[in-house]
Amino acid sequence: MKSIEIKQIIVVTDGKSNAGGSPITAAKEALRSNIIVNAIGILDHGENEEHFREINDIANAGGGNWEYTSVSNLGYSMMAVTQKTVNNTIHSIVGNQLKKIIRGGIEDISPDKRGKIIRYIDELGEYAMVRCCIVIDCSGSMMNKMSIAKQSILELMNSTKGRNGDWKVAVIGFPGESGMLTKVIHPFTDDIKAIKSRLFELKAGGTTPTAAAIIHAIHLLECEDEVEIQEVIANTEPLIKKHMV
Amino acid sequence: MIIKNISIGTVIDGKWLKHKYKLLELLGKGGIGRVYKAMNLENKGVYAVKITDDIQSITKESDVLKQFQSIESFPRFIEADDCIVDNNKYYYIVMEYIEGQNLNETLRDCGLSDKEILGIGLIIGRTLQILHKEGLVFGDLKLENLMLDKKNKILRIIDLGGVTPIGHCVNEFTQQYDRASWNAGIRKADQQYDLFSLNMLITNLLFKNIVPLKDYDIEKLLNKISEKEMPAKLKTVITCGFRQVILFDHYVYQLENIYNKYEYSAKLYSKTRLNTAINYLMVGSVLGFMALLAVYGEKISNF
Repeated sequence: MKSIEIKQIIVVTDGKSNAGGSPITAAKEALRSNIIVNAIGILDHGENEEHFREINDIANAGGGNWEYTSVSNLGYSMMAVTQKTVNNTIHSIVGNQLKKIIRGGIEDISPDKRGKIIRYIDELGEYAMVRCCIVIDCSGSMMNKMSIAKQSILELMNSTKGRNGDWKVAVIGFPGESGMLTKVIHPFTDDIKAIKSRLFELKAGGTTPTAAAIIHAIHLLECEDEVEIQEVIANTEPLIKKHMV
Repeated sequence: MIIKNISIGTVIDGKWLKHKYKLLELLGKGGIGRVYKAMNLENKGVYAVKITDDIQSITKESDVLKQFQSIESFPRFIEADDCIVDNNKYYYIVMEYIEGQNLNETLRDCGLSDKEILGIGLIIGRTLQILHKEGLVFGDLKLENLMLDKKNKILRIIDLGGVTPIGHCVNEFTQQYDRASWNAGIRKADQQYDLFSLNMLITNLLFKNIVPLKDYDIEKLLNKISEKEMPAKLKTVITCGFRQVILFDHYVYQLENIYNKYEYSAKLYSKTRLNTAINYLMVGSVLGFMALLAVYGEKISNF
């Protein structure tokens, strides 16, 4: 089974960025490096549309999905958004290859005939190699939401245990300590216990330098490449063969 | 899932089959999409339409539904199609419209006797056995996915969106029925995953309020079970079900033994209950016949 590599950043925040540059520009930067940026906005009470315009913009610039969620639903949102990204990424890779064979996308195959391709996409998703960097807001306003946010990250890791593919999660907090804009809570790992102990120490306080956090995540994701040798899908044998359609 | 500009009154126009459906009433919404009661504008028939922007999920669900049309408790599949509403692409399946209540509503309105609950568990168990033989796991079992069909008088399992191939990760789940949320296993599809959720369903129906939902502590739950008064055999089966130390097939077999021996609880017994039980347990198969035998057998022996 061919293994597709998917790199994604999930920005989890409860408000607008207020320090360190434009997160939208940072998200565009990520997409240029083949990294998808998703964004989750945590709703509390009394937030308005403006507050979360930025979430939409970050996700749109980063080619990813966005969601607003209540604190209690954060775990589910994180899982949903990561899964969607895996699906969407595979869909676009497969879609591009399909265009060469049938001059159309999956929707151009009739509903009763698309099952085969859809099941194949499912398999690809199941065996995908995913590097997911969670970028979590630790500014002052997150104080009451920190414990649920930590729990949600663990939930996400718990979910990935059931997968066949190689999933690793890293966590970056923003702002960092002693005047640093960001802090690596834990580099890429699939060890839920290791992340749990580091998450324990996470505290809230300070400004919201979202852009810096996204840039840091990009570096972390790109470093992963040096450790493992990746096949670039575009240069190898196509995933879709004519007989599948 | 983002669905814009679709609401009651919207008419969807099928791209492939060219049938038109007018959405009449919202029946439910879930992670994958929304289900509407709808009317086919040509034949005036009333159907259930599940619509979503997620082509992946709906195609898988539609294929599973088509594959298992021989299972009476699943909805009848009519057709699958695509449509465009306000420049957005959507995908939908048309199914039979089922008149009745889901089990949550039934519980609230008139309750279920212990024997009916075991019977329901048995019907679901047998259905899941068929899925398992084909390498699939039901996944998202919950009360909201179960209906009592008023017209045909049988139990219906209505949402197949969670059906997952054995060995894959379970993506659609409800915390209470998901063993991983209880730290009692991983969120990977296997027969024991279904075992846990079926057992949770039956336990929750039989013993309201026994399930500690605040902290999802499996040991706490097992303690409550061991302290609760119930027939010994039932206690063993429920405990083994949560610990998943019993094969699914064996669990269903034990459930059937318990069902056959179960007396109606005196305070819940009533004539209407008896009729309801017979009706809902008829599946036009050996199982239905066995249910009848058990019920009438008892009635006769009471004289």
